[in-house]
Amino acid sequence: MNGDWPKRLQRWAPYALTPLVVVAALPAIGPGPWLTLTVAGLTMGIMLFMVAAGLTLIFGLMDVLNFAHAAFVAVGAYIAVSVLQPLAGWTNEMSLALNIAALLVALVAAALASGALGFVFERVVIRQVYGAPLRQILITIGALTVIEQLIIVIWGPQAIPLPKPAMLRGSVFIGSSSIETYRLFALCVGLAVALAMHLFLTRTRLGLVVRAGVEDREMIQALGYHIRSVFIGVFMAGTALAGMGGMMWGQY
Amino acid sequence: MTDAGETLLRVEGVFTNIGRYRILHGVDFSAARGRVTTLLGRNGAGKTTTLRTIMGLWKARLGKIVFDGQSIAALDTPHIARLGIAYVPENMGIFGKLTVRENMLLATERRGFAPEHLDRVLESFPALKVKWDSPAGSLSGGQKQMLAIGRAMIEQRRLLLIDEPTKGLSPAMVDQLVEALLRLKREHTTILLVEQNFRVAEAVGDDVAVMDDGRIIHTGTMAALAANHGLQHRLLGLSMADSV
Repeated sequence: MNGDWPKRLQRWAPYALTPLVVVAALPAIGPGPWLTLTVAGLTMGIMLFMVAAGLTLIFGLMDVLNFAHAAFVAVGAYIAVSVLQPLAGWTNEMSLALNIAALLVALVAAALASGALGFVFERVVIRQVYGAPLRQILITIGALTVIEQLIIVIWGPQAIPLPKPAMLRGSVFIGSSSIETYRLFALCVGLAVALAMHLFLTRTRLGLVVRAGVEDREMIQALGYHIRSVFIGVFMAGTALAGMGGMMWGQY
Repeated sequence: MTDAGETLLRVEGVFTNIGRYRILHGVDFSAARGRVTTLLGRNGAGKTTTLRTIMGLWKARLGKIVFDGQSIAALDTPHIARLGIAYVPENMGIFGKLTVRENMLLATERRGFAPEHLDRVLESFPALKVKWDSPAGSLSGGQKQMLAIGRAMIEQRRLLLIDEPTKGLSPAMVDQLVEALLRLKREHTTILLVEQNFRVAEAVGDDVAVMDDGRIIHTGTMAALAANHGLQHRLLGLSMADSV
């Protein structure tokens, strides 16, 4: 067992680097700003995680370089606009439950819309270019432009303000550090999504198939699994995660 | 297995191309139910291509593949696998980042393991029990081969396609694999085995089909081929004296 330690250390060292830097910064900037910056960094990181997790899943399993992934982030944010505007009554109410309910409705809508768009995108665009990386780059960059323009057609070229819900504006104070309330909410949602993803990939049979498919697509088919269906599901999940990240980012 | 001996798999006039190259030129042979059919031939004869074509991983351009009365040449690979055909490829097809348990679980048809099937695999390959929760990538070559064959044994399959299971293994490991294959044989499992090691083929095989240049050039019983050194030399370029 002792012989395993160097290997284990080597495996975990990259993960330990960021926490070590964070801890090392504490004496340099003091506890107040340190906590504020740490929470801000974690929140941004967790939102980027939601976006990047989808991209990684799609690239890892399907070998698809989806340069249009950012478009799904934008779609998620704009869908959130369309959902939250009619829910202004809930978001302006001084009720944490109603505020969070409105955001969760927007989050689910962003995920569903981006996932549905991802389904169409896989069928119409990606299916034609499996196994052809150069074509994937060209066609997904083209698709990115098309989706961007469609967003302008639907929602217009002007920036649309997306005010935070009443109870999630402002900050909470812990000692000498101030932490934006919305960041705490975003952090909780992001961690919940990360946990759900982890449980899906490690505790479910479908998650097992996805992880195996990343390693050897041919063998997973020889074991009786329809990798095409898994591809579509993973693409939809990846774009749905991007949409959720976009919704969270829109409010940030 | 009262139907032992009747044809389970029939390959008729199968032509397969890989890219621009034609690899199989009208392959004809059959595998009988409950028996071990060995597919022999020199390197590049088309043995692996034949197994992959049966499995649907490469599509037959022409010809018929009939499994238990059903034509399967046009079916996709998952559909063929779900008919009860297990495939152990030459590269073993192990998922290195998954644990041994997870690799096995992927081959089960239900949520968990059937205890009698799991016991059977672990009795044949006790090393897998020790490495049960280790990443499969950390196994030795022989252990990976045990896992690959164990994965094919974890459910009651109707046909096993096994491609060169002893390639690159130590003699002790080869003996253990042969013992596992003999166990499957005693259980009347139908196996189509590609094997370069003639001693292994002889120990396990009931019937034999010899390939050369993408065609079947000989079919018969393994016992008859093993007894005829001249035929071995003519078909395979070896005799029992120089086979490993």
